[in-house]
Amino acid sequence: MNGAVAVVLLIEPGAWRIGLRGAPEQAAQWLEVPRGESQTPAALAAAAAKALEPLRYDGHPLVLAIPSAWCLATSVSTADLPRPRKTRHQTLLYRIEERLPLAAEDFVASYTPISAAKGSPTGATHLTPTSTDALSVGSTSPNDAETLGIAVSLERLAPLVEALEAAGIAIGTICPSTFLALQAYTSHLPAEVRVFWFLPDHLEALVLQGGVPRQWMLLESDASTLRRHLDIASSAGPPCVFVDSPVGLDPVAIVGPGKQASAISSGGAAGWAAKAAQAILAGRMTPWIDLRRDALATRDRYRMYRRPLNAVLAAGLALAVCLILGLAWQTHRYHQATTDLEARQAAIYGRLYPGTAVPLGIRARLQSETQRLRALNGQSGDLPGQESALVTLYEVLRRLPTDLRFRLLEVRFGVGEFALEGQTKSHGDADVLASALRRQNGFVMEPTRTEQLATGQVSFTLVGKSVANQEKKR
Amino acid sequence: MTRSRAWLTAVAVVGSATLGLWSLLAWQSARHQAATAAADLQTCQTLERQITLLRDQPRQAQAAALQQPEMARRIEKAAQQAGIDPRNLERIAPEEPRRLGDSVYLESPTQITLSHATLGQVVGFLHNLAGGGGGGAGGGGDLRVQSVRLGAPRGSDGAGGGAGSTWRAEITVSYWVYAPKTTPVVLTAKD
Repeated sequence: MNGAVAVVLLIEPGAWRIGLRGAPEQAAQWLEVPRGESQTPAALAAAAAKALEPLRYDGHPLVLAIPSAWCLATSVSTADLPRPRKTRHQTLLYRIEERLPLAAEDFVASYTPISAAKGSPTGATHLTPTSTDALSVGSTSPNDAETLGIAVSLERLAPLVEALEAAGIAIGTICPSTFLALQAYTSHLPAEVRVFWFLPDHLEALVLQGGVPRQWMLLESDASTLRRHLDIASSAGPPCVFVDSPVGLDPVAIVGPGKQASAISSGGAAGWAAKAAQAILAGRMTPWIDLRRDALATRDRYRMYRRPLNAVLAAGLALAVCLILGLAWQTHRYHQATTDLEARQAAIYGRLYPGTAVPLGIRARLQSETQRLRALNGQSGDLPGQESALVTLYEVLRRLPTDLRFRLLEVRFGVGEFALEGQTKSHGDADVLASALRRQNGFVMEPTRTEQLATGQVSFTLVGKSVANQEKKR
Repeated sequence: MTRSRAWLTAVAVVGSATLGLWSLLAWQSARHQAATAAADLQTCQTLERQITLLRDQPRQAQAAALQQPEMARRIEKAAQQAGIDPRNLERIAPEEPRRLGDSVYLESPTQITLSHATLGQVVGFLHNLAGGGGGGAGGGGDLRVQSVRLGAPRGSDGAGGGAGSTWRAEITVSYWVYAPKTTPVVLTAKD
């Protein structure tokens, strides 16, 4: 058994079996669950868990195949369903509740896929309840779109599911065993067919429309019940297929001439149920009916991955904590570095301005101080020229000839310009003075103004501007 | 997973995410501060060197306007050093400072009148005043001779003639004051 993987927990009257995964063409292997004296859900779940021990069951979800006798079935109309999925489901539950002897809060229900539901081509078939405890109520309106609703009492199923989960057996899907078997076996059947599946202790009659069950009832597997059922059913219905009919019973003969009927052997419904469970767990098949919903829904959808998820979560949290601590340490170091750098800035300020309080923005303060010192030193660019009238005075005096007699009455010196007023012996002497001031690239002289005075002397006015000053202005 | 455990897990995840985000932001802020502080330090070191150099260079402008007694003291000292009789220092008239164009400087002129001073004394006086006298005028090279007008002293018929002739000198000196414009605060009705 080592290496075998459980896929389905099959509950049959008086026995529990665990189906193991096998090769596609291989018959299913089964593991019997030994049952003790106690028949409580907890005891049964414990026995199942014990049976799984040799398989080294890892907690993956199993399909729970429940007996048909636990189920209540009814066809419900799918007309005028609201579009939102949740509201549609709720509406269908209310429609199922109207047809069942249970309050909505006392059962969990599922229904066959709605998209394939079409009006019954066979017309209305009112099938009476049989002696089994399953109840089937037929469609009342053959032309309405309808679906087959399956319900199970919570009182019966919930304690069992809770016990199994508590025993460590994860239940992923809950489905009637017949529906599991039929879903796997449906490829061998026409899309529109009336199926009679003989099981060891009863007969299950299903009507498939579009390959999906639309009617379901349990019958006793004797010829008289079958005959009575076929008499009630419409003669113009789909062909009948009898699966696994017992030895000594010829159902085709009971159908009689004029009706299409055939008998085939499936090899056992349980084997097909195991195949369906395997396909469901592998994700290759969506079960028609899944009662693991609503009140029986899995509390933890990720329980299969809970341990690795927890590990990932813990690792993530540990990583986050490490990152936070690392960032905090780095932040602390940056703060320390900032404090140290600011202290060094303060030291610079202290060296430059000892005894003064250190301002907040040291860099800005030093920049401002540098700018101020540049301006004070005349390096700011917008300081006017440094020329002085003293320079002009010097330049004029040093150019005046020493061998010429003249008299200065008034002199004016500005920055780069001057004016001389005085007296000399002749007009020519005034020109000599002007020429002397021009030489050596000295001054640009205005025309010399001279005037003969009554005293015989000549007054003159000399106005000049320094060449350098002129060029600068230009 | 129970509801309480789910809540606990959610709180732990959200809490650690929030804390992580906060830590990341704090780390980024601290890193930025440290980088800024490092850059500021480098700038401060450069500025320290510049300030030290600038402090040793001669000033071309005053940091603040000279007070009247200080100015008068400097002029008198320059005159004294030039050998001008204090009685011949006729007038010292400071004028209102005016801004030099759109610059950060104010020009503060002062008119000085000397009488009966020889040309040599005038030149010596100007030289001392402009700072060429070895700091005797107050240690600054910051006073600038703006204009000089030499004429015959009042009551005489002329000046120039010989080396010993005296003049009446009307001198304008000025200095610059570093005074950046301050943005005026406009008060509105709301204020």
